[in-house]
Amino acid sequence: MGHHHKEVDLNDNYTFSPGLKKLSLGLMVGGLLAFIAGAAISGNGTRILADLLHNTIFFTLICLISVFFLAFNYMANAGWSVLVKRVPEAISQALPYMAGMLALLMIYIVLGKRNDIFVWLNIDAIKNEEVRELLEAKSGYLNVPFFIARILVYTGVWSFCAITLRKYSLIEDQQNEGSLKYWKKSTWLSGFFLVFFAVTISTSSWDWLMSIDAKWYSTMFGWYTFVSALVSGISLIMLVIQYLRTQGNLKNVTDEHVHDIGKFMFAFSIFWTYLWYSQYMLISYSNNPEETVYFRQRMDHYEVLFFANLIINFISPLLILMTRGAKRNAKTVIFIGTLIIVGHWVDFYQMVMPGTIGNNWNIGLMEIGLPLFYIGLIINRTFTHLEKAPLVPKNHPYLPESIQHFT
Amino acid sequence: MASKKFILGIFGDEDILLEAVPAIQEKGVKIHDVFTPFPIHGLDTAMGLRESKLHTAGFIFGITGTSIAFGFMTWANTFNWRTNFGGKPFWYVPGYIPITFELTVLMAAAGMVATFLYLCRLAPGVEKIIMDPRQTDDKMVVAIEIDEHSDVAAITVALKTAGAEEVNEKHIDNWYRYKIM
Repeated sequence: MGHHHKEVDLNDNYTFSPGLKKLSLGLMVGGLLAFIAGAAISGNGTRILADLLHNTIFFTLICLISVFFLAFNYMANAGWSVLVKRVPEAISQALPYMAGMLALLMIYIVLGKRNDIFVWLNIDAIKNEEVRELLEAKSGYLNVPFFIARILVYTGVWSFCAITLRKYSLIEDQQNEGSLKYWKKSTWLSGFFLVFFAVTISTSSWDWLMSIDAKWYSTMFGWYTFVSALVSGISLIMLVIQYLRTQGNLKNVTDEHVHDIGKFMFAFSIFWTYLWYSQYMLISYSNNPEETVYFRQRMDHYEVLFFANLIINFISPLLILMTRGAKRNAKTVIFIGTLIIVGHWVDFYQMVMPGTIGNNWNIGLMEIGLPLFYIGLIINRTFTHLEKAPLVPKNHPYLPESIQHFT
Repeated sequence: MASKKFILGIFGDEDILLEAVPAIQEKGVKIHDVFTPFPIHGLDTAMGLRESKLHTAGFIFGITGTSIAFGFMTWANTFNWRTNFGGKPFWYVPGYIPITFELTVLMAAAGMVATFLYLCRLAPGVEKIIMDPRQTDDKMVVAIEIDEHSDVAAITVALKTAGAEEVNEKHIDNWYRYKIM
């Protein structure tokens, strides 16, 4: 595409408003206090750890999806996303904090031999001989040193890619116009990241989530967790973009770009349902007791959440986001984006809780407080980094394509 | 009317065409249609066309497929001919999903193709207007219908200033043969 049709103003700088900064800090402090108060009231060590596990994994993966978003757009040579790419870049800068906390938490759990969280940590304590044999057979993978090594590699490499992709993008701004050096470097790094991510998003979900129900396994689990995080991560990107647009930033971002992200939210919600169903259907159909136990427990004791999960994460996006107009409407996408994030938070809750705290679940102060803390942290990191650099990556080779993007 | 006259503006570049279409319309010239060898993103918006109804048709066909498949299996398995399959409930909803999904996709796809052919008046043996043979190769044709009251000179100037490479006239006899267009 040759020339621009309109005069384009590429100056776009965001200032972290004091109000939002206060809100983010307020969420962090308030959330943390609520968590501590809830933990003190409950006094149930398993529930506290499970709550930490649930929220830390969920919000780490949401930030990780921003790196994935950048990487797949580089690898696909996508032009449309250039005008919005500073948003996932900024969100991904929260990843090192989240990943660090996650690694610390996991190391605490496994070194503390907390078999109330991961039953495989203490095989000798299992009375059922069959189960013990099963877990001994898995101990080549599920053992403490290998587990710690894996989490350090996952979080280290993910954070490295997040920081480096951002760094390259900022250096690119300082280069001469037309220099492709850092764009090429970013593309190579994205290729590496995608291969690494493809493997580790599966293995990490086995490690941190599936191994809670260590006797049970599903070949769909890695994909399922990945898409659950993906659709929430894309929704978060959408929410930040919408916020920036209300502040008068991202002037060149049109309904066309919003529409494309809306399509991702819609399509990956359907894909999530497909994986949910595939996992459920195969187990339901073959009807093996050692497999059905996973869903039996969730359907009997987490009934409300089990069906809410499907209604929030499938029926709502399907019906609300179906039309073209809905994907281009700011209010609709903000509503459905929030709903999707809450819905998948519930989805992760069901992955963690039945295997740890058992059948008596309760959403109280600490289950509400901890996500607020992480949301505050992500807001704080994201908008701090949005302030640090112009919102238009002016030397990106596909910038003209993004400016005149039509769907 | 048995015959129709058109003025054709021939364009060679889609970027110029995208700017030309609103520019021509701003001068009060009504564009009959634009013929292009490949889809041009944003042209429908530039021409001010209303949104296609095709997806609404797709939704209706799809929901019909959903209802037929789900309704039939429910009727057959729970009312008409109850059969025990491995101890599953008679109304085994998860087991109905694949067939329901297949029939939804099948009816939506086949229905949308049929609707598309109908909306575009396409069928074997139907003769379509070729305003200029190059519209199937590398040129884009903006067709403007004229009659005895039209200001041909003004339209020609409007097309030329908008960037048309050449401006031709096209006379179509036996318009009734094509009028379903």
